[in-house]
Amino acid sequence: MNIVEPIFTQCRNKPAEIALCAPGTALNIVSYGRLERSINNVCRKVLSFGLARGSLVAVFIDDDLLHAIVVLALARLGIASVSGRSKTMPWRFRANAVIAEKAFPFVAEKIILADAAWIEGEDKPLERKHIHRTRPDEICRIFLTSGTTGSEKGIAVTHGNMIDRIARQYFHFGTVGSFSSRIFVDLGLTTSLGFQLLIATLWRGGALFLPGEPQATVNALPIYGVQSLIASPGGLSDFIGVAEARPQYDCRLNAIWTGGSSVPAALSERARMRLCANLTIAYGSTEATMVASTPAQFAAGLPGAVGYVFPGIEVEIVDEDGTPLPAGREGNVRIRSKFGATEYLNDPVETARVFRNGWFYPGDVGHLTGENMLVISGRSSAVLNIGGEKINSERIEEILLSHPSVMDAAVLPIMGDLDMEEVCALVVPRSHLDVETLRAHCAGKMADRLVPVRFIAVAEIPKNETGKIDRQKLPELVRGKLN
Amino acid sequence: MNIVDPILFQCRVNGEQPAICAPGTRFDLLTYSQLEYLLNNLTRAVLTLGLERGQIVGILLSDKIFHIALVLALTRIGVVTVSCRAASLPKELNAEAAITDAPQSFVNVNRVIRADPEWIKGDGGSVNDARLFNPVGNELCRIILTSGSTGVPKAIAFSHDKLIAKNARLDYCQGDRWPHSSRLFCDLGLSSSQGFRYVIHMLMRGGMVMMFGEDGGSTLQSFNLFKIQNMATSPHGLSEYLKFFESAASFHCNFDHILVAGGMLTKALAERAWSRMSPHLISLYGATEVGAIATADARATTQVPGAVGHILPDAEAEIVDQSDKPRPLGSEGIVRVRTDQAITGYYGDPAASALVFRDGWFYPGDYGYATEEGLLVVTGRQETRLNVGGDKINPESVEEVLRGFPGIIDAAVITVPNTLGVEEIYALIKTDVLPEPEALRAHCRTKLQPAFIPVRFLRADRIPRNEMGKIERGRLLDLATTKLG
Repeated sequence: MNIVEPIFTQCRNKPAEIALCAPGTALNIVSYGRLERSINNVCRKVLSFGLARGSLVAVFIDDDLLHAIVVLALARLGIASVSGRSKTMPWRFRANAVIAEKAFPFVAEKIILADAAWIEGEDKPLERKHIHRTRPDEICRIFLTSGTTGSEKGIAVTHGNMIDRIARQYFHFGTVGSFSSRIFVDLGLTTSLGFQLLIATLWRGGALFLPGEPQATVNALPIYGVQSLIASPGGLSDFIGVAEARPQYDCRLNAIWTGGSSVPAALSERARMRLCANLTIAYGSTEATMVASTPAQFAAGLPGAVGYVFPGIEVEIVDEDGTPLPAGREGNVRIRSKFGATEYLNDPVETARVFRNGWFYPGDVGHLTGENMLVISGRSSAVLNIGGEKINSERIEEILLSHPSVMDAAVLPIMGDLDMEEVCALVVPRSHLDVETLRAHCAGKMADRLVPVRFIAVAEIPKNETGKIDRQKLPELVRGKLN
Repeated sequence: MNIVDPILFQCRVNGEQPAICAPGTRFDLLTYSQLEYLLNNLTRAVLTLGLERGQIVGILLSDKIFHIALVLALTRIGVVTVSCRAASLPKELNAEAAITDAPQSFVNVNRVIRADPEWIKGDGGSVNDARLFNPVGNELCRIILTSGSTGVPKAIAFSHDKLIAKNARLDYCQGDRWPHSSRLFCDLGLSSSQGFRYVIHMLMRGGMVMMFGEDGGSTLQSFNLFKIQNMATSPHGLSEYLKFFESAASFHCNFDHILVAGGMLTKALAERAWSRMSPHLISLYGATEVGAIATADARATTQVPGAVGHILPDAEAEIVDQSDKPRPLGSEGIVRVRTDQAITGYYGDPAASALVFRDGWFYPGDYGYATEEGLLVVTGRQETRLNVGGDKINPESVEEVLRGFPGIIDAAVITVPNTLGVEEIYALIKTDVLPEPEALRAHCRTKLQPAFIPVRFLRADRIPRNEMGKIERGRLLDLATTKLG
């Protein structure tokens, strides 16, 4: 079955009701009827460019609703899509075409410019000859993941994978979340979970809210009776900030879900105090899919606890030789299920590093309790996970080093507001440290959350014998400088 | 994944929430913590019965919650369960045992195990035993007995994976409110595929499922007490609840949606249910063999006589002629259907399978047509089978029972729609003196499900039969109409 087909069932049954909303954006609200017509019109547009079943199209559209409609139309035609997270990403695979709002240099056979007029047209249902019975092994979507190293890799997901994942979604989102019909998802369509929630919510005839204009988005939640919020820890902390600054803001959410990186106790407590007492925290990744979750109060008092391992997922803690360790012992986390990815697209080297003997090694260190609660205590690699955005420290360091005023640099996470980790940069300047210039230099080259919040001038960066940064010594150096 | 694992996961994170309720019965209401406690004790108890993984065990119990919990406990250790409506199983199953609370013999099982009230006792602690079953392939989980297209019980076997895949379709098969509702009244029996799946689907998601309790009063009062949102029932069930609500003005009916499955939802019944019970009725057409095929809001199906719903994604319905050639859109013919979740044959019964499973298609035995918009319309049945508000039986079974009553020479039964459009069974009886209806009903009660006991007995001089001695069923309705005046 094609993953888009069940959405058309809902379109037929409830055309007048709300399907998608990005408050304050150009399209604002899309009803099921309009969604159906828009997908049909975009399908015709895509076909007119000669794109056919089995091809791969990269999509760069900033408007989330238009983006969602284009991706659904492509999936319906059996065309795999990949949504870019930035326009400077390294690509290891060649797309047959790029659909973008404006032209930019890209490796593809075709650049197709799209705009909001694409969703207009004759509205008619697509001719039967263009609708095929999709095989479960046809690729519907490629997700880009920073994975365990912070450099972008692709993970292909088939229609069959997506259906299997949606089939077990009901225990991911806590005790109330799975029954919500109006959901605000602040994860981005480029993430595997964000895309899965788009499909699953529309399958069920629910309404999916996406971030639009910030003020309008916050206001829209009580206005439209949105029941659940699903956000990365970073997105959740932003939302708490808004709500705490507006004491009159009446948060009527029934359930909040957060995951993707560790959820600090302070964030958990303030989210429950100000927004909604029913908070679910979770652990997962693009590679492994959702792995564990728990009501936040069950994790209180157990630092690093990320959730009970889901049925159907195997998590093992192993030592350096890959020998499984008993409950309570700390070691490397590895994960196995029939839902997860088994390789990175066209990247055998990275694939071999993290996918071994049927297991995925996320690079986390932790332990399991006797009740199968997974507790994460750290990372085995130099990857930073800042509110759900992952990047390898070395990539930020490279960008800093590319500025002429920087002689040497190292980055590390430090505790910020709400105990959320922030990036701190240690810089050996050529003459003096110009924080504003360096911040501006970083800004366009990485996600906002990853731009260092604090810059500290140091005389030298500690290195080991092989010339690599000695990361264990960095926290001590920062403590010395801050005191 | 074992289908019980997600339920145990909900027990862990959702302990204080109501899980299952049958008002006024022995267990009345269980929270998830209580369900876990019961499941753990029952699991320890069934581990002592000497049953092995993969063996088939029939369950015949009067208490519904005990029945469900026992099925789940057996499923945990890999035993394949089948819920029975009578003390017999098809011999093709080679069933190892039957677990029952009635002191009786059981047909076609190696041994009968008396359900012991002591089984529920224990400390409720979690079970750690190597015999807990974690399926890795398509190991069987559950067998459903269906009357199939001939009225003779046939066994349909589902693996753990197949049940999960079928449940996944509930996200979009029953309209938009179904997946968002956390409290369901399931009026479909546990022995049916849907009844069983709706119960486990709700428990896997951490919602609450309510079933008919000790009596009508406690059940109806509980609808609003527990804020039950949806109902799943048959046309017969719906007509029974409707009669109650129509006769009891002080009861408010607050169901968001009512799903009507297993038989045709007529316009007359839909109109009265809309005005007294719920504005949202969902019609569902499907079969245990293939799962859901078509569904629609009753507002759409009641506009075209015979319409059963829009053909679902992941389901195909084709109209073919006698030689299995597809007919053009809109023309009438034999309905054949397929889905990814369909089974490919009846358990241990290749002969019966060959009749209705051909070239990857299942032939449910209906005539009909499909429209351009994908609406499936059923216009008739290929074979004689009585459908009494969702319960199906072949007329011969009822006639045989009637002929077993002293003084009855011959008998034939037909279905006649009542004022609500729900079919009821009328019996034509060849006899010198018509027996007392109550005595006849009492006789039928010992051999037939309540739904199949005729509501009217009419005396006839003779039963029309053809040269081959077969009842000429086409003439029965006229005969009955004449008798009724």
